[in-house]
Amino acid sequence: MTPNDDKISSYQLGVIIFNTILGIGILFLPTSLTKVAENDGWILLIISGIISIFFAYLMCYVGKKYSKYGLVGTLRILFGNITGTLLTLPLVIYFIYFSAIEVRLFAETAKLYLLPLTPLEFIIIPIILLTVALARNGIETIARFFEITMIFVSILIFVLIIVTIPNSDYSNIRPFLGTPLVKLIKGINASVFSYAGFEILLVIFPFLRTPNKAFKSSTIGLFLIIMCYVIVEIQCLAKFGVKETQTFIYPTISLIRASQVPGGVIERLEGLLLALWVTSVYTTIVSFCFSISVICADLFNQKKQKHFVSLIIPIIYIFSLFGDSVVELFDLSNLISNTLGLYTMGILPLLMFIFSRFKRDVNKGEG
Amino acid sequence: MAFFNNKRFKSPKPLVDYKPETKTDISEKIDDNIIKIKETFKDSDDVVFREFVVGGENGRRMFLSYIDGMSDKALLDDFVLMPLMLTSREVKPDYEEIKNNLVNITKNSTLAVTDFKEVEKLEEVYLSILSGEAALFIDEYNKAIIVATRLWPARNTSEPSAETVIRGPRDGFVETLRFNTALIRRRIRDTKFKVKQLQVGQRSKTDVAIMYIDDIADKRIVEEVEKRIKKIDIDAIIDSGYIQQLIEDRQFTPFPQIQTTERPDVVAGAIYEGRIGIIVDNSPFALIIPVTLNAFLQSSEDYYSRSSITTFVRFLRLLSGAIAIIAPATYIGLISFNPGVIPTKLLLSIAATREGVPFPAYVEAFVMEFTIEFLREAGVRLPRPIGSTIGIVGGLVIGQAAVQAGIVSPIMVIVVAVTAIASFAIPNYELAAGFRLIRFLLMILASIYGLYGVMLGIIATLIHLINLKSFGTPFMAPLAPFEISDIKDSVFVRTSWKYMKNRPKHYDPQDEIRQGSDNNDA
Repeated sequence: MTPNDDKISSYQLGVIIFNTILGIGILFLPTSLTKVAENDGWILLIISGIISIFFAYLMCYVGKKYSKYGLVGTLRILFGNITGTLLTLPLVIYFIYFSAIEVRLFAETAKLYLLPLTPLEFIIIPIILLTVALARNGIETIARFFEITMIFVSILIFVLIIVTIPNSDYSNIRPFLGTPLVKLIKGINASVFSYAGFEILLVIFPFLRTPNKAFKSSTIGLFLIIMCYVIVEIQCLAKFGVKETQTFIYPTISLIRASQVPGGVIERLEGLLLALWVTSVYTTIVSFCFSISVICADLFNQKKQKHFVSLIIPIIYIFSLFGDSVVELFDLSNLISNTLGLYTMGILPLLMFIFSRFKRDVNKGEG
Repeated sequence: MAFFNNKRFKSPKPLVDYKPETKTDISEKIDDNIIKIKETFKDSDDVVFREFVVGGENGRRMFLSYIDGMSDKALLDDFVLMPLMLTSREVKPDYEEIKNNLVNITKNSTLAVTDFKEVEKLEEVYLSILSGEAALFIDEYNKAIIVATRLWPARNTSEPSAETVIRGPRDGFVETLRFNTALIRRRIRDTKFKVKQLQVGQRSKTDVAIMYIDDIADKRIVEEVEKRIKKIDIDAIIDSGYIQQLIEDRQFTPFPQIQTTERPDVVAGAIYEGRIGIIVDNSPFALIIPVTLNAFLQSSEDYYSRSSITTFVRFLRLLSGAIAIIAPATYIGLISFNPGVIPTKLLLSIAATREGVPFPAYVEAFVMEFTIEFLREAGVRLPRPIGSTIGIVGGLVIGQAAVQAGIVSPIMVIVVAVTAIASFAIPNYELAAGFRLIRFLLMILASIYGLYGVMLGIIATLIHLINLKSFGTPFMAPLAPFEISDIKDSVFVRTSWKYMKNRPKHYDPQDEIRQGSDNNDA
């Protein structure tokens, strides 16, 4: 029986987490990882994945406790009205920037491989308009859309992994743990942000039918992502080796390009891959847009989030035009993740967790 | 049921609230009634008025009225008039007794018909006469007796032409409501099976029957359907297509949200799943509510053949649906924007055949797609013998002449042909028609954005499909929202009947169990 209360099941939460995290990042991931950790990139991925799960746990702990209030409400309860409101502002900016960079990076890649003659703006505009079309409809519709794309994307990833297996030299992965520990720890910084996207857990709790199961399903979502990332990283190393991987801008695309479909039905898979990857990027932007609109609606005490989607979209569009080249965009995105991203994914959940523990004690004392 | 929420249904606003009509009582004086009826049916020469006297010279006057051709004349003659006029004479008449008791005698021992009722208002009399019943008035009695003499003229049931099957029953619906309900009733011998009859249309007074099984169908949907049908305020209902469009949730969409079928076995199967069937008089197309995309891609035959074969066929249908939507658009995208994806050898041969073609790929594609749409439309309307001629001419135009004239390339012909064949493999005609529109949308997007445009179009279509609801049931169920137990009978697979123990959950049946838990186990 499917009740129609605009809430989502725990299975749908897992799907949303998976689809939100999986975006443009996987196309760049192996290069940045091998740059910091060489052969141990995949170990780094697992470590940072576990860290992400830990922070997801913090978010779930707080979210479960204040599941009715939403992020803004929770912050206001924990930190007071003004401080709580102020604490959400960096979050909004982060979400906007993140989706803008996601759109822009995708547009750059699409321009390079698919539409060399089309102006960037014309690649960005339709996908942004489609984002409005979906994000307006509320969480339940979004979740249902993600369920469909989940099937589609899983099949795609499976096929791509199978395709890349021939001609791989798995001895390239050795030696394990050759990188110094200090370097590894420094690298965690870079790799944790490849899991950016699970912070929608901060926002999503009021829409959950069973908040208690949230941690389990989001862990499963994260786990699937970790697997995908690790496999891609290993395949890249096996195919190219460390030195070559470090030189790519789009290592995953190069990986696909180096592979051949048996029987030669399709040549140069990367064009097809990029066209199909639109859905994956699209789902990421939609969840971020939805999160922003929910936060904004809460900030202004409005019940309907859908009008805020239309308001945010021009801002995302303008932000997405900043920066001239992919390299500049990388720098910008590093800057954003190291400041605002760190705040959203690390500091804020930690603060909320600590304060909520404290708050409970106070409540007990009073009660 | 605990999660009941009014927001589930967004019902259309009523155009006009139904007000109870002012009704005229039937007078005790038979002359008043005769005058009123004759006045009402003035200039209607097919209405028969028959006055007669029962019980001798100064007996009681009676009056019978019906419409010639709609009522069973033989029945009226032999079992209504005959006993009243003749048999009553044979009994040794005690005039006084008969005179005082005539009504009771008539009702209890004279009228040799199975079905009659009494009404008190003239308007009900009119409606009955118009439906083909006969109205009998008796002097000094303020009710009319309605004798059920309705004729149900019907052609023989024949195999539905739009939904032929190889394995399965051959009977199809006809234009007569009562025959159609009987066809369903024969398949559902259950006291809980309900046939609720309503009359829709201010002037046409068309009979509409809502059919469901009381303890399986979701009560909310039954109520909602009834409510929406009652709200219809229109002069006439000619076909079930009227009802379909008047009660649908969304009007501006190429996808139908109500399933239509000519096959009684499909309706019966749907009713057993907890769905609701609607039959409209004068239409051989029954409606089924609610429906999902999943149900549209199934054929009744699926449930009669072996599960492994069916699973394969369903996979084929899914594939053909995908091809019908994206094939021409993908061709445009590949040729115009991303030829690199095509293997080099094939690309070379495509380029060689396209050498003489003066148009870009999208012009070529649009020309060919439109040609085939013209052919399809022409073939449907024309009488059979000319229709086949059109097929031959079209085949020549598409297959040979266009290529030799250098307007299109041979590969384009293949793409168009495959698309057309694939779109015929979709079992439901209305859904296939919707897919055609989406195909053109994708082709436009592909001519602007290439493969990226195709994906944008697919995303847009998906958003639309996700947003659709058919009477509260999500259109994409059971894929979204995902229901693992319903995947057993979905677009991908159909497991063997032994394993489909429960009814599909996404239709919210009250009683989910289709097979007892222990039986049928090997």
